[in-house]
Amino acid sequence: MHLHFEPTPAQLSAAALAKDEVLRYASPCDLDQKGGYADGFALFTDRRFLLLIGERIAVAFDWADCLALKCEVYVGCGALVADTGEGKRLLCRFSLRHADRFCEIAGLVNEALSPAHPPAVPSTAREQYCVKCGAPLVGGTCAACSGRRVSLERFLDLCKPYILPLTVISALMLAVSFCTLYNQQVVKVVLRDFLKDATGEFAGLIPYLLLMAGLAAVNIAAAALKKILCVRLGARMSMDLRQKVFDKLQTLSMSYIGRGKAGELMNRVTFDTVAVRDFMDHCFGNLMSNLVTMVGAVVLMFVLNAKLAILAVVFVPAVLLFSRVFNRKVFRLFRAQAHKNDKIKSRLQDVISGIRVVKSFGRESREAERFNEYSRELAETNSRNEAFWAIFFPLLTLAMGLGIHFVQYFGGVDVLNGVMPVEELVQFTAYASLIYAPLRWMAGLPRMILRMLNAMDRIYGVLDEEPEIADRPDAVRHEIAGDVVFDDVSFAYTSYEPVLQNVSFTVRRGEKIGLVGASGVGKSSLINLLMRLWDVNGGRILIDGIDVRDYDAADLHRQIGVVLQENFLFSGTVLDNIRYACPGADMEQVIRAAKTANAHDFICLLPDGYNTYIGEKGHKLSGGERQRIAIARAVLSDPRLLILDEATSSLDTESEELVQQAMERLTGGRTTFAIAHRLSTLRNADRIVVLADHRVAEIGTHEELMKKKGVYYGLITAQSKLHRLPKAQS
Amino acid sequence: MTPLENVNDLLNVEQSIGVRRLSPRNAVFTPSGGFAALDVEGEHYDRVVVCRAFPFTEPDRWLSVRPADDVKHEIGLIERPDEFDEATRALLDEQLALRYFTPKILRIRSAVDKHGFSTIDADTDRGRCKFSFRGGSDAVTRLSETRVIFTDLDGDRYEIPDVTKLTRREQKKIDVYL
Repeated sequence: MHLHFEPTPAQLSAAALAKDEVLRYASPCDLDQKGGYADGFALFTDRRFLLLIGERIAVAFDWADCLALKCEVYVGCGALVADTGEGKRLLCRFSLRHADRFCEIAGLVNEALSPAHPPAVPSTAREQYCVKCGAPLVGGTCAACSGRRVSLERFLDLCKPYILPLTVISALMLAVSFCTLYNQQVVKVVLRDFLKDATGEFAGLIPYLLLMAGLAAVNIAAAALKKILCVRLGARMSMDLRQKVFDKLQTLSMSYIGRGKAGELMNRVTFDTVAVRDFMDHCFGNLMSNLVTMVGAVVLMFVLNAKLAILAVVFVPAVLLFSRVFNRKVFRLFRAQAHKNDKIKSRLQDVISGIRVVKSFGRESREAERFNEYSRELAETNSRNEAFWAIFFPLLTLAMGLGIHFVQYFGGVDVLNGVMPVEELVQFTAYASLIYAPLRWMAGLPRMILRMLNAMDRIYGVLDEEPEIADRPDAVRHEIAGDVVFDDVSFAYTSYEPVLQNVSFTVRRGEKIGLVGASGVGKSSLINLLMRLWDVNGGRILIDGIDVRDYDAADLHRQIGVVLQENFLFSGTVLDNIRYACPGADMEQVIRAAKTANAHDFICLLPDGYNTYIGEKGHKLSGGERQRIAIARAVLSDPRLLILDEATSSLDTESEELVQQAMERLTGGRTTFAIAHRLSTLRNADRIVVLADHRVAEIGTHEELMKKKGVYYGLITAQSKLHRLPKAQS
Repeated sequence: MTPLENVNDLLNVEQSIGVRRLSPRNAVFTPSGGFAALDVEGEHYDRVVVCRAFPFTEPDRWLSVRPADDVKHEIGLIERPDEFDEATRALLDEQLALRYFTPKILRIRSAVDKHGFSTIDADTDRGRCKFSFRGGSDAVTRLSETRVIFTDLDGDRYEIPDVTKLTRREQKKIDVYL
């Protein structure tokens, strides 16, 4: 976060700082006290706070009156509130654009105010907008200020490796244009020398006919070849791009993936790369042949007859304009239709996947009604669009042909007056008609190019993103023994919501640690930090005395096993899933792992044993069965650190017993972190870490903590009361 | 004590499902240093937070009042703020204005797509602003056929109360996002 904005000279003179007053932090502050946008600027000096609105001091506040400074974040805005000891005072307001900044400053000011405040935690939140020009940042850099190359250039860059097929395609396009244009020349000769006066001999005609046939053949062959090459090239380019994006996505950290919706990222991988392919298919492949044919036809028309040529061309701008308007209208209409279509689809999916809820509340008729409504809307849009199409498309065709009709009229008059030979008129009309089809196509060209560039933009938005968590160049690979130290760890996803504050504790190798605390207290975050899916904001985490940030991330993850509440099993066979982390494992190892996980028996009884297909369309497994497969997967990878995140909370008692047993086998000798809401599942933990209020509240064995009668004792008694309830009633 | 009573006690069932109405009959709000203090049925709160329970559909009713230092616990609900006197209403409005900031877009100056981001430059009821969001993302929420909320990169929100009230040219500029 940028905490040191430069005040303008005018702002500095308005602030009138004392000679020895030191400016510590400065930030724009975009709201006034009433919540309107304002040109505010907040100054934090070593002795006071100043808020300038324009060049007027709106708020001045001495730190001497301040016990603590708090940054409060609300809905779409935030405020800096000072605690004066006698009450609270609102210092300034800002939108979320500056919230992270003010929170970090508040932490730093507090640290300076009194040693009683905890040390400020540096924020990892990134600026979203360029602090210089206000443009959105791509991967932490400003496209405008850093002079990042524009998409068109990058597209050309992207084309470079494919220069050979591109040259061949260009040559073929030229050939097509040449054949199209030259064909008319031959037609003219045939007309003039053989057909007009019927004087020529048939024998003389044959070479011309053969030439025409040859030209047509070459034309067709070249066009077909061109099409094939274009499709192949487009597919290859989009495949290469897709690969790049996918590779990049895998290296990007959770914080990036968590920020965008998964669906949006999938879109980038599929939809946007397809857009690039489409461009190569439909646009690039026709671009040159259309252009050359058109320009060639126009030039030849002018050579033949300038007057008629002007007549034919004069309508071009009108046609171009008309086509553009028409295309745009069509585009809008059909997008509206697609939108309605999507609406129906998602409604349908909602209702069908929630059919049990619909039925159990007896809402079938209401749902049917609602669906009918959507359906009717779609039908209406549909027929309106088709009507538009039916009326305006012929009109467009008519407008296109207008120029040709004029040419035929005036040309015909010339021919009748003997000014122009008839064969030239035929040739001329042919050329004139040649320019209109490409013209209509080119009217849509800007949109096609724009679409491709937008797709490229989005693709490069991902490719340019710098992973926030990157391996250091000197990252170590180390066989983990299992000693873990949390050393004054602080963490927050955004700087105004601390998740963990000054967490410190030590875990010996082989120890089984239970993590306990209310939901949202930071248990899962603690695990995420240990796995280095996120980086700490303050302090450090050591595994075997080495900071997790110094580990090679892939090597670290290889040695950590995870069993979650809802374990993700990939579409594939049971065998594939168990072997996910070590595809090379042999059958005996797989069976051993499955036996350790209490999974072997039920797997053998499945119709297809280990080859049973599971996943979306495959065999349905129960929660306990999925869990045990996940455990087998973890067993097989033989992790040195094991993480069990609510691994048994969704299971019934019987399968919990089996899973519990399996997990005990799994955890033997391994450093284990287990999160559980049901505290009874932690009865085997060596020590229990209780988190409360984002800090470690208590650490100790079950017995120690029970004796202490603190937070843990409270939780245990509360839960045992809840669990006794059904018995007491019966 | 039977176990059932025990659990009731534990979960504070009465307190968590009971709805306490705040009205001029039992509640007195007083300004304090830019915030609001509350006295209700013998309880005193130095500073309370006022939240909208239905910010989009009932922005002026059903206000949930909570202590600023323990926002997870509700003091009570104000169903009809207009029952209070003018000064109290002004105080409540001030607290709402402090907590909620969603400018209403009155005019769209431009909408540009660049580098995978869409940037809108607009005049709002709170002044002019310029904000960006990732193209094709869930940054655009349609509250109804005509009511739209944009959420920008920082999480700031901007509302178009009625798209059809914009001029056709403005509508065309933002058409792509809707």
